[in-house]
Amino acid sequence: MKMDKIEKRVIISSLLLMSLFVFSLLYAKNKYKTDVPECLPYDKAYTEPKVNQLDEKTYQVFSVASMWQFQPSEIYIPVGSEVDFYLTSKDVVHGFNIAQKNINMMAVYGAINKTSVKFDKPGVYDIVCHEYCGVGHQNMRAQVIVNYPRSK
Amino acid sequence: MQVTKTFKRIIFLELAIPVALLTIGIYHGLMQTIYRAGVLKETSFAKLDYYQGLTLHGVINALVLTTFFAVAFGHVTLTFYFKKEPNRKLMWLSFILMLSGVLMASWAMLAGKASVLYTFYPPLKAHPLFYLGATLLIAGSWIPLFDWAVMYTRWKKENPETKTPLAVLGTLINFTIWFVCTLAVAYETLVLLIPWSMGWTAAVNVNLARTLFWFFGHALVYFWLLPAYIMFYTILPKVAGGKLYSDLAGRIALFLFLIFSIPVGVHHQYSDPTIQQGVKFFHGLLTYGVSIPSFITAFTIAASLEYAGRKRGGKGWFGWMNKLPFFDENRFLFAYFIGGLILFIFGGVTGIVNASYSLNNVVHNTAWLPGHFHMTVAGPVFLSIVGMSLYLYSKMSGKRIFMPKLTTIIPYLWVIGMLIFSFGMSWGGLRGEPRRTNLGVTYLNPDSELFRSDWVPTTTMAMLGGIIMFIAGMLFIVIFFGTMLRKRSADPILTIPVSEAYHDEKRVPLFDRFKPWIIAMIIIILISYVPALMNVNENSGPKAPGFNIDNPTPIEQPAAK
Amino acid sequence: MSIPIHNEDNPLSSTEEVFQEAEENKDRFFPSGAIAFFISLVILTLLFWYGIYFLMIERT
Repeated sequence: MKMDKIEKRVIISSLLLMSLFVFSLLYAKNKYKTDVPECLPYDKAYTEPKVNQLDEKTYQVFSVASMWQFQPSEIYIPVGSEVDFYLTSKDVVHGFNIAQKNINMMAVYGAINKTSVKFDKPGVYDIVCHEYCGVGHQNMRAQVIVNYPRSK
Repeated sequence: MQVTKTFKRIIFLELAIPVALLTIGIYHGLMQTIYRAGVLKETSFAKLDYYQGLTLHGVINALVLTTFFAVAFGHVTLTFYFKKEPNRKLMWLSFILMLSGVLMASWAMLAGKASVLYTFYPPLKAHPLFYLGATLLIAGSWIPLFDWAVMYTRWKKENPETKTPLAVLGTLINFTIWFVCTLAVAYETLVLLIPWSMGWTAAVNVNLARTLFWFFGHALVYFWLLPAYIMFYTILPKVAGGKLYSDLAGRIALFLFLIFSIPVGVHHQYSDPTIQQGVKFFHGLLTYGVSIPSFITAFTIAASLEYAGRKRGGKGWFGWMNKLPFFDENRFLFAYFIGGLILFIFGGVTGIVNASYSLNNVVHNTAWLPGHFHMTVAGPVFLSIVGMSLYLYSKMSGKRIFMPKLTTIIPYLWVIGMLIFSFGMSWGGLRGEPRRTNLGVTYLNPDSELFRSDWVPTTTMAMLGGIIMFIAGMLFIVIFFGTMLRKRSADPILTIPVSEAYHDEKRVPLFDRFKPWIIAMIIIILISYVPALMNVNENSGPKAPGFNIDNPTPIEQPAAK
Repeated sequence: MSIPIHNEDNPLSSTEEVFQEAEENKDRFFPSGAIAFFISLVILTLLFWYGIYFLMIERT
């Protein structure tokens, strides 16, 4: 097939460019654990809002989104902790976005979403709902408050 | 060529009705930027509420305008190249179904019974006429494909060794993609949503509905884009005064779109539950595949324009760009095309970011997303639709363009507005600004405890861009209707500029035949979507009852499990 | 003129190929500008992509 030599090189360069990106994504996944949310089969246990402390540095948050709040709405986490966020919705589709930590999940009825993060800097982290969920959508925000643990 | 009065009437209706609706569609675009910047801190304005306006904006601009134009432009293309009009009855049937759908859905939206946005994710529930209207709009757009397929088959029998004209190939490929992908959304509306919306079924599997929607939703953007690509390959080089660098490159690109447009939908669901990471990653890889035909197009169009520029004396690596007919009133289509292409540079690049799996965590559902897609659907797609609509109307009615100098300036005004808007949105998105949100009430309201001062500059930029685009859009509508109101001053003809190819390669049967590509398309779709649907089935829990936009209490009790 | 022999891989016979080459030479065009544009596009893509990539890593 007689195809222009330069067009052939255009196709090859684009493929190489995309391969470079694939490599970088896999590298980041390996080194920094960057990934999309984890898939879990549905379990009713995650539909009750909860904060569980598994050990000194490990927490679980069962977050339940509904119109128009996240429960729990204020989550206190000591600096340096790893948190597993589990997410579901009691009603319509909601978003769950902690921008400063790459946490970006959809809360869907009848499904459980999960992502893990380490909070190594203190501060107040907004959880913003970024999927339209009715008239109260712009009011829907929670916070993760990361601070130094009180000395006992 | 001469065309019948009936043909003209149908085409004019299909071109003019969406342009008229753009008054509402673009108005709501402007309004959103005003609410989001906190200039309006209300939930509604002039009796229309924010999310109602957002729904109207998305449906009119991204579903009605694009679908009507694709059908009209397809009719015009096939007719021009085959020198034969499509079946009149089928043209009318198609138009009537689409129009009925639009009327139904518009009633529902304007009555406030369908403020569910153009993606209509359940279990937020709209009035049944909204879903039915959307279904009719889509079903009406299927009809032309079958008529054109018959026209094409006949032509092929009479011309077995001739290359299918590139524009015809593009149209048929585009509508094949459309037909296949809309099967999923038709199933979603007819089987899942309408019975539920009517109260016949108690609950809906939201995960399945979303997955079906996005099977449709990504291919949708190629349905929008391919008519513009057809214009870039077959019309732009001529209008620019050059030649298409390679005809074969266009064919390869089109067939790559045929196989890669659909099996990538899960990249819109990277943040969703129920679908496994492996499936999501695979869709990401396929999405990189669908970027290849766009890279081919970028080079081929650049080479075609360079040819035109050098022919007029352009020198150097970039100097040829200056010699192109940016402001030539007699070639105003050039302005609309080049404006779209400038925006598409950024639209395409940001799209690659969105496709990139874990990178999506940084941008998903933030303002970055509308920043991206306004540089695609409201960039090359919008500008080529309106530019070509004006051109076709003017030629087929024999009326001169109203205010031709202004006509050539409008796309550049639009581009400036869009760059400012998208820069504000993209930057805001990286700062965590959410999309689909009436920020004025809370996040951009200094009296609210949710106030975010760091979103003030970005939303203000977006508003400035929005105002400029609104002005450009309204000027265009004035020009379109100004042209309609003129008296006929020339013979009405159907004419489309046809580009000559620099490399006019001999017919390559593989890139002039549908069967192997359709088979490949189906196989790839099965490989990419069967696992996804299995995941949805395995990992989904209970189905959801319906919810109105203003009440957390479900509309009816969920069915007993 | 020799009789052209056609097959899928080499649709043009050598005679036709030479004839076409001569035709194209009259309208010789090397798309150096398009190549420059394409390279710029690739660089722009790299800038945007790695910009977001390093932002993502910074936020982990």
